[in-house]
Amino acid sequence: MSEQQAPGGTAAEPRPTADAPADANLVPLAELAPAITAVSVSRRAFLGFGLAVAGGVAGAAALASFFPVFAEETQAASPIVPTYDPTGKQWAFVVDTSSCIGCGLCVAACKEENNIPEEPEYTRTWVERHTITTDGAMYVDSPDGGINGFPPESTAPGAAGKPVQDAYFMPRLCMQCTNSPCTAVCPVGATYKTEDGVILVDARRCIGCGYCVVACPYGARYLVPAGGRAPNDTPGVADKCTWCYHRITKGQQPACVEVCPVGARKFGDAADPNSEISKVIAEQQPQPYRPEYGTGPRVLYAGPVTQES
Amino acid sequence: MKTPARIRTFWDSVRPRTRRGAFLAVFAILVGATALTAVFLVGAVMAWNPYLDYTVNRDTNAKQWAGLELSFTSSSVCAECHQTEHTRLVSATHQGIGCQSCHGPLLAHAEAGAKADSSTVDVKVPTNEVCLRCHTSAVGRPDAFRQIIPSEHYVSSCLECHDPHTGIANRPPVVLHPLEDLPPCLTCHGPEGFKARNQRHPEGSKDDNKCLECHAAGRGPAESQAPQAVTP
Repeated sequence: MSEQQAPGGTAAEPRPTADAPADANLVPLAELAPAITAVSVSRRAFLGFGLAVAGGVAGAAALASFFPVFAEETQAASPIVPTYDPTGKQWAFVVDTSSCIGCGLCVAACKEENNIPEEPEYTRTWVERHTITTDGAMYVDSPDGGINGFPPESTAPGAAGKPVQDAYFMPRLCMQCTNSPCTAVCPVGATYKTEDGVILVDARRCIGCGYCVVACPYGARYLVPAGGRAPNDTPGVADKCTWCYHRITKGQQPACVEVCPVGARKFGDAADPNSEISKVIAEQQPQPYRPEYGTGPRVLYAGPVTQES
Repeated sequence: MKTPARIRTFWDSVRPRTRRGAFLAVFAILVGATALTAVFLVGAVMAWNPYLDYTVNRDTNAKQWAGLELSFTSSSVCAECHQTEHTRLVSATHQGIGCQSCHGPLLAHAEAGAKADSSTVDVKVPTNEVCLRCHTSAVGRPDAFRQIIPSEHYVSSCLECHDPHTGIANRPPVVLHPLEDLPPCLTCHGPEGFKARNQRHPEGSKDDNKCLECHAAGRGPAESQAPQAVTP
């Protein structure tokens, strides 16, 4: 096998050999002149092309201004609500399971206030009844999320007829975790945490994949079905409790807190030491529910539910 | 730029019709490519707009959530007009319960103000269902909370006897009950009755006519300041 046929070599341009040293490959400058001319022409073409691209982008921007695609961007950055400053807010939610009577008014009010789908399986908040029988077993029932109240005895399978040792109601809602798995798993970044710590879902970006629904260890999320009522008028996306973001930013209490007849739900700004919620936290020493999940839940529970292990 | 002679010769040899066709084809290709590019650019901008928007102004979506309409108002608003009910309520056992717990969302009613009437706003009149949500005896309710077993309770309409605004505990209810199709008086008013409504007659008569000699149906404490019943 001769060197002329070596792999990688070509007949037209033989690879340098010992007989033809590397210096011999240097091309005289004069011979490069046409190439330089070609480069300068290319540069002109390149500049022209760049100009065309810039013009195209400007044209597209001008075109886009006729469509509402940049509508929100044209608004100057402003506070969420003119009278509301999210910085420094430490919203806190305390649920007292010793005073909850399981009337379900909170669930009904939430549906009304937030335009939640009417079917009971879609809900942002629900009430559970934890029934501990004398044999030490715990039964949990929540017929229709408790929206119509509770029947006299637990409807959990196997609980009927068993003597009850202890029972209490436990309102459930989104914990607005500080270390939230839902925002971590969202593949499109649609769910996010606001400056004041409330976790919201951007319906325009949510693709409805349901990862967050699975990721939430507290089961606080659901996918809004098409047809019928939808929060924020957007079906097909993930939805969850927002602590009534439209109410708390206007200085109002969440709807469930507003209607609770026994004050089992308390909401307020824990950053203010004189607020009611600060006193409730100081007196009742509420605890997070299932802190071992490691998500840093911000809804705190007082009463018998804190004795669960 | 000068066209090479060979190309010119070739071009001149082509039929004029074909030459026009060639020009048209090149023109169509250029127009099509431009249109596709425009569609692609606009589509890309539209598809990425939420992301661009989020980068430029993170609060856009939070503003959207904050801008949603309310249905419920704050209960402190109600006292501005309904002073009577408010003062009665704060002295009652139902103290602390917001108006909207029973009457439903009232923001529209509150915003209508003095013009509010039944034709403009829908104010829910509480039904038995609202009362029984809380007061039906159920496992899990705190023991101190007042609970009834509806099937063992006398009347089927709560508000005929109970006034939620004055407070149930503050005034014994007056029952204006019809006497047709009722069991004997002692069923309810005797020692085994659902309420010890008969404290003056520990040995009540089993004959209803005897009772009715003195008592009219529904004669409660408000009308019987002077004792009208006679001990048997």
